[in-house]
Amino acid sequence: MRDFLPIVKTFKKKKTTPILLAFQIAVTFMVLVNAIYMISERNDLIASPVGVDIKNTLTVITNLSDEHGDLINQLEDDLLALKNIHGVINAAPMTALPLEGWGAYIEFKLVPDEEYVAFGGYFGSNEDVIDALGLTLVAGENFSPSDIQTAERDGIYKPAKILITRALAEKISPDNWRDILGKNIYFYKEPHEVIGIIERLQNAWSSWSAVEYTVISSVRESNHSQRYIVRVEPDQMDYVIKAIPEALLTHAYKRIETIEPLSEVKKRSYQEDLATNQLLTSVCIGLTIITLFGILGQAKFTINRRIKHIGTRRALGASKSQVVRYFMLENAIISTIGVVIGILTAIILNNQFVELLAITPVPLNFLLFGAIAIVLLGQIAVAYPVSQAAKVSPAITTRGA
Amino acid sequence: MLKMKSLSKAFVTDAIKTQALHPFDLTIEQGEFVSIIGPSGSGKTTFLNIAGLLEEHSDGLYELDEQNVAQFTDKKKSAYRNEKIGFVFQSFNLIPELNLYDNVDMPLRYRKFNRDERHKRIMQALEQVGLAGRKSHYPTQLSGGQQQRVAIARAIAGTPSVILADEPTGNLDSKMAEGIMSLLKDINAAGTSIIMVTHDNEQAAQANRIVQIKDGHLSEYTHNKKAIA
Repeated sequence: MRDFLPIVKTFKKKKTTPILLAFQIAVTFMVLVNAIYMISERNDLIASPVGVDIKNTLTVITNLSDEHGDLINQLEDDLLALKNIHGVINAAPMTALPLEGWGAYIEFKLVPDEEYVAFGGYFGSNEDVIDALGLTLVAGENFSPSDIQTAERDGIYKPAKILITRALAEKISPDNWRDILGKNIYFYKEPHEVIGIIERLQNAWSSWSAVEYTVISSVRESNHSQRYIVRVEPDQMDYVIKAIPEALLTHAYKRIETIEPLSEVKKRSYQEDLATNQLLTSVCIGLTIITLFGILGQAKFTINRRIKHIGTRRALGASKSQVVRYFMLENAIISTIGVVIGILTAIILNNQFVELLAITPVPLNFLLFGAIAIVLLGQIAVAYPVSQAAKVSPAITTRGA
Repeated sequence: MLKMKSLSKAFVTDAIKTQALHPFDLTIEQGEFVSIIGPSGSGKTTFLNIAGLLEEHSDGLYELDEQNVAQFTDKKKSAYRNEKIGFVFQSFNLIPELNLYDNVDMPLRYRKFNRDERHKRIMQALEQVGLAGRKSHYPTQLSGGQQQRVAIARAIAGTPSVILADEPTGNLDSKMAEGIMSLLKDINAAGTSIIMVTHDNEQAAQANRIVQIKDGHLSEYTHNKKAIA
């Protein structure tokens, strides 16, 4: 640390170059830390569990035809055919699919005609839904076959027994989420009795703040475009996907719109987030490279400007490693000043952003980790020019004026 | 103090060998003032660089204060140079961003001196060259002669065995040059050996001994300028 004071004194006399570099580092630091935080937040979102057995669940969309008898009978036939496929654990009809980006949302009231207490997504299905999605029931009970009603579309308007997610139960009765069991929730003015609470089930919109607030109603619907979910035994996904067309396409009018694993539906719903993350990652990499070269260039420039100075130091007793230490320390000081400016600015801006835009601030550990990373980055960037500086011969002090 | 035996220096570039210094013997005792003279390109600077451990010799023996310096690592050599040799350069080589005090402090920071010891040495050296009152000034605020005085203060602050002066008055007018010469003589009188490279025969004559280098050959001159070897 013998060089610390002389370096600081040198800065006082020659301010421009170190100040510019410190600002470049401060800006890089802020952009990088924010971008990486945004990436990590998005990654957390993408990694958040849907609540279903995502690896072993697939979805089928097929047609039901008015011209070929009762839709409910056709639906029953389809379900029977699906359940009979070797490797299928269970299958159930669904009015919409988790993270599909399409479905119904509702406002929940505890008393009709009063203000809603929460809002969330709606699915209609039957007693097989827990088994067919691999849901976890944490309180109350599942539907019994006698609970199940039937509707052609618009089952949402029927009074019925419902299962709700624990997140929704906690939202509605924050003191004790189990209290909601046995009570009625109203939507579209009809009472819906909560008979069971499931650990987790994300509804149709991944980026929605209410994605965890989900209701499953005991009203199965028969639609012209009918959705089923099918849960398979481990490693049976490929086999079942291949077997489904043969099982379902028993009549000439039957069509299959889609067969795909639920994981694909999820992937599609996060496509934009993934693309944004890729873009941000590229920006981060680009910025890092530019900054690396910036620091490298600056170090090269200041070292070239000070060849004679380095030679003098060498002549007056500095060893090669002491020259290396001098310039590494100089860069570390500039980088540290840069990241301190960056951290202070980030904290001030964070407070502003949080007030103005209601976004989550970058946590302190991110800032600290980023600061260490940037200082290390600076050290890596100066390593090469500094190693060249160490090669400056002390003999240049006597060669030429 | 300084002993060179069959010492020579050759540069090899692109398979062409240039003999910068032909083998020579030279011994300088503690307290001597030796001038090195010779035309440009004769090998004066090469001799000075070897004597100052700034460059390595190719062959022969070089002992400084009874230490064979050929085997020294860079670290050891740097530390030894710092301790044993004070440099005074033609163009002063002060650090423009540091004030006089910090310039004199620079080589001392590579020694194991504590703050008080460094402060004592810096102030003593600056007083000796008559610039203690301007310790907070920067080199650019001084005349050439004053800058060279700072460089001399920097050279003596570490109490070296020998001062190597490379054309110390080359960039100065005659009046300033005189001042620098008398300062060097005072330092020599106090016991520090001085080896001075110069173009100026009058200045060279002020030394105890004169060594002439011509085309890489060293030869000793007596005061009546007659070659003896």
